Amino acid sequence: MTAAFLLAAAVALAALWGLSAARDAEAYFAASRLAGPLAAGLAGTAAGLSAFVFVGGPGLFASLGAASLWIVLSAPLTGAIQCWLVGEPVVAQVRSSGTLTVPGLLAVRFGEGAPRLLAASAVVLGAISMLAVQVRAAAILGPTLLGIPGWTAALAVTAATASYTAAGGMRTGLPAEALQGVVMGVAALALAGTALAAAGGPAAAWRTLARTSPKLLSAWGSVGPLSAMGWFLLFGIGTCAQPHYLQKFLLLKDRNALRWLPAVGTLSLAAVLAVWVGLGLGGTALVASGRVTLKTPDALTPAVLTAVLPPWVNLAAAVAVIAAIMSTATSLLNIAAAAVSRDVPLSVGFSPSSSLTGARLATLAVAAASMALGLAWPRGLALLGILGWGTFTAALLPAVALGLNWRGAGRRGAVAALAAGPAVQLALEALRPRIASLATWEPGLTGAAVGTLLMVALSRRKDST
Amino acid sequence: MRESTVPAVASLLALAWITAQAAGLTWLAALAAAGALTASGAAALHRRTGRHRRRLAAGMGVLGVLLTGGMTCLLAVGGGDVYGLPAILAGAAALLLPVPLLYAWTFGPEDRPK
Repeated sequence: MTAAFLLAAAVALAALWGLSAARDAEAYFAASRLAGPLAAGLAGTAAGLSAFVFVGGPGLFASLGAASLWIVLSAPLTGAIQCWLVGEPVVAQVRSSGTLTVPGLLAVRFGEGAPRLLAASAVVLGAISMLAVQVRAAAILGPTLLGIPGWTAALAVTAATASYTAAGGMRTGLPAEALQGVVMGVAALALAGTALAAAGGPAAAWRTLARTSPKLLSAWGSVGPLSAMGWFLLFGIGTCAQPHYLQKFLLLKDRNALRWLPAVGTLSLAAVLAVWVGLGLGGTALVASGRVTLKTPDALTPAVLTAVLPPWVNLAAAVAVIAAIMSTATSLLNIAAAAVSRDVPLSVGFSPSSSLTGARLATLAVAAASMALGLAWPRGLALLGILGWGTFTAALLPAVALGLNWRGAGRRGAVAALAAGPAVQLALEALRPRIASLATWEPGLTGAAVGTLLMVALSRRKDST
Repeated sequence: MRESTVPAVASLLALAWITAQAAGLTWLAALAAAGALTASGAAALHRRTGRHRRRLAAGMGVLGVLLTGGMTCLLAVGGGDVYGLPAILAGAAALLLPVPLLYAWTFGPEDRPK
């Protein structure tokens, strides 16, 4: 109860401060462009890594083994790749145009109207999907970590995050996310270390699985190399299309902040992802040895916490998961609110209001929609996260990556890519369970690949802006 | 990578990926994945000059070889082998510091004049 009271007080203070600090759109959507590499790197990691890592990841390891790690193996590369491919041109464009949103980047590059509207639609749909992951994670972990019913936990965490995000936008969100990133890293290392220690150490855990479930340890596991490499590439290059990652470049104070951004991001990423490896490997070994009983893979984290780990680790886990949920939710709420309140009106010829009321209301509406989806979603947590990530990749990767690196990329090609990419992705998501030959196709990447081919084919030099 | 080659490289990689999935060609998927990640870094070459450009080109060359070599080795030996987990973790750990440091080392002055 004390922790809950402290959290509520912190949230209330943050919301009150945000109401006064966020007075204009630049403060609300771009944190007044005050971020240096440390804040942006930590916030970027916190925003990008969510309950998916603490709950979905270890659970996926329990069912797929080492194959699940192909989702995160690109972590050493993604910070630098983002900066090389999209970060530098984004920062350059922001300096010249003052863009506040990711759809806005595409509007500056390809002209107003359809590019911004299609990108904004993808942002809203993908953000709600990924926000639903956070809601669902809170619902799963509420009874275990907080001792309250799942829907209560989901409602409390969502309401808390929505309140300070609606009040202060990224002006509040950036420092909150940076702090949450530190908390997540420290707690993740503690969780990983204690889970592995409970299993007898990494070598003992590996030996247990080698004896009982050797297929879990093979590089490709039960998913096979094609699917595993699909995940590697989806989460490697797909980071360049995630609007909650791209948003961090919009917040930077200057170009020089880019130099050390990959280093901060990569190291903080590695610290947090240690929980996927440590809790996944150690927890799965504990299940294999019979010390932990598992009902569903998503339940691995709470099962290990309650069965074998000391109480202080439970507290660390609760704090870390709440931090992870809130940090990711903050960015997703803000970018979705920007899409609804700013990008959609601009794309159809209306100027957004100078007041932030619309953005604040949009934040609350997106939070409500995510709650509904998250509590009703019938499938696994990790799959919902991959769906959201894939939607962003399919829709935005060609337009952002090609558009910012090739002056020949034209409006017609960009619009085709923005529309066709997610259409292909969603069609594959629907057909894969029904058609065996499509089982190894990665929908997000396939959508992005089709979008890329369309963009190149349809671009003409005379269409370039 | 010159800016003018960006669409050709992107198209080639996209086609390679789709073909690999359609035909179940795991070696082609490995080449496409390694190529896409390497090309993403190489896309910044046209924004670099002088020694920063040379450093980035060399770094991307090494990274491309490591990614391609690593994945093809895993394809060759990885199926059903219990050493797969330590192998992939070791590969990731080996890149953890060098890649972000490579970025800092290749971070040059402002874009070259157009």
